[in-house]
Amino acid sequence: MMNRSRGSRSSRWRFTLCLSGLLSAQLALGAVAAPDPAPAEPTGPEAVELVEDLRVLSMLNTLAPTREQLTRLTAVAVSGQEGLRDLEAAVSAKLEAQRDRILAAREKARHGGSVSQSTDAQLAVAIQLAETTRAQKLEALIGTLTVRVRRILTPEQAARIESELAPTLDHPWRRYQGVLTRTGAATGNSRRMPSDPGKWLGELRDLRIDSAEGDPKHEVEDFGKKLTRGLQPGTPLYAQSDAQARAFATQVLAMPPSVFQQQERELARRVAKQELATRNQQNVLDGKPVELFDPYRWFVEEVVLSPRAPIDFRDRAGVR
Amino acid sequence: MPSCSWCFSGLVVALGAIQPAAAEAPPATMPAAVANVKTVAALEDLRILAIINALGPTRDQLVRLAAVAESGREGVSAIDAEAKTVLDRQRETLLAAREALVHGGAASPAVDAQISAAGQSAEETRTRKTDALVASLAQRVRAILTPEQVRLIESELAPTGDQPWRLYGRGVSGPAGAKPGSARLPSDPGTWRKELRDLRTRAAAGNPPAEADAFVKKLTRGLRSGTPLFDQAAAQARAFANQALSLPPAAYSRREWSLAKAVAQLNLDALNQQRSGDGKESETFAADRWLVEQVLLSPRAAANLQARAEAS
Repeated sequence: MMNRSRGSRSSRWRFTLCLSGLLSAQLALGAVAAPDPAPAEPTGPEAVELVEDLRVLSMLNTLAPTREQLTRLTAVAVSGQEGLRDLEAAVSAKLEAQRDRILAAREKARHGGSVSQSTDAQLAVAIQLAETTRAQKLEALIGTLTVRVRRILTPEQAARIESELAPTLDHPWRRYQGVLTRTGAATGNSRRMPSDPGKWLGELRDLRIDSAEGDPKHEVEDFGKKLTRGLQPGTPLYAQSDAQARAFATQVLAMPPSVFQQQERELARRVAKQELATRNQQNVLDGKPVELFDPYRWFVEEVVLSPRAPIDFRDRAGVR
Repeated sequence: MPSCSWCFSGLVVALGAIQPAAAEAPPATMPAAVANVKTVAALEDLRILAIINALGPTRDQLVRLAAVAESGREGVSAIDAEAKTVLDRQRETLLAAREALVHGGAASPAVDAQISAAGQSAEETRTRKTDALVASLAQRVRAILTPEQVRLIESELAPTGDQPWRLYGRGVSGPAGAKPGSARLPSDPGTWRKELRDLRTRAAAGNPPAEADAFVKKLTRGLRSGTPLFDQAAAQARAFANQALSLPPAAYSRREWSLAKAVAQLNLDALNQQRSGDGKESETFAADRWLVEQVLLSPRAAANLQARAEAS
């Protein structure tokens, strides 16, 4: 049930982790380690891979996919891994073109010499080229996979991604991510929500705690400032937004603890929605593009591109 | 997208144009051992050797540093193994939780808590043991380096300037750049060089006195306003800003690094005077720790230091 192809695993891991940040330090060092490791006997997934399985499957189950969706998502995940392998090969090729030069420079450096300026310049261009190739191909791959995922998931599932999965709330699978990244921090920029209910949940809790310990009026003002950050003071939009923020904060402070606890997530979602709506009004006034969240892209980056996704999706499809 | 394509093709053209001017001509044939080295590993070798060569070490120092690097490699392996063991103890729980999820169920809160605790424990083990390892290696490095080499690290290597080896590091680890480490300069000339550049760019496009004010604010951040220390630091910062703004482009380019270093020094001195006044310890830079984190903990360090020692 948990097939593994050890031969390709190492490179798949290494590259995808560059993308997702999982175990990046360990694997970046592994990539340049002195001896090549001998191929190990297949003994089933390692504990760290099982943790990743739990993360992937927990998110997937939140969407309650049908068997047909799972089968189609498995194909997308397999394409994702193939795409990452191709991308890795293309990036490596850019550096490989400089291989002899790098080896010659290393030989010189091993004898105490310094690398010439022209070699430095060539390497700089090659490394920059490799980085550009990586960024362009990765963007194209994510774009292609996102289009496919958009055709598979229903609008209800997309809404669930936006309201349940993407906000940085207290999901257990985020703790699994912490085990894998050792930091628990989010990684890719594009995966962040333009306005995150998780952040506002923290702010609402702080508002109540700080008010209980200090001056509620000051805390309400402070909350208003946070919610109007980036808006032009003195404009009707600013005044309206500030008034709404203060009213909201006052309402939150008036709630008994048990009611607040029951409603805090929903309240945080409302604040995030309001923040984004106001910011986008300001963006329109400034002639800037509005900020949007793409749940399908989020799902690709967060789940589909995991090196464990093809195995996990397939197993999940096989059992249902 | 057109701009990206232009950028991409421009790089290709630049690469082609530079090729004929090769200074390190590749040898016609490579020994077998060299042929087996991965390009990314060779780039990491180059990064390590560039840093080491900047210190001009003796053969004896290289041999001793190689021994420290070897201890570091063994230490890291032991830490990795221990952290893995902590997580491996949860293997059966993890397998059972996976099975539940594969059937569309959810992991129980108890299992969630157990996995989370195991992860935290593995993380704590790693952090604690890595700190101890780095400290013990740094102590050995301290006994090997001369005071001049320590100064070289602080003034030439640790500041985040345009050192080519920083670029080699990007080739190895991707766009993330330098490896994370705790041995950072308390006030980095690299940061101040960027501030000086921003000061000139913004002043050219807008209001020079306002930009100079903003620069002064940045340089006096953390100091108590209204004190003689604040006033003195602010006056010096303003003098630096005015100097940077008055230089013609060519003269500025020549002097920006030394200016950035002077600004970083001013910033550090002022902050440390403030800390001393507050009864706090001064912020210092540990050059030995920096060398351990940036070089000696690389899995390629021991082999390169040995090879460099043999070639000396």
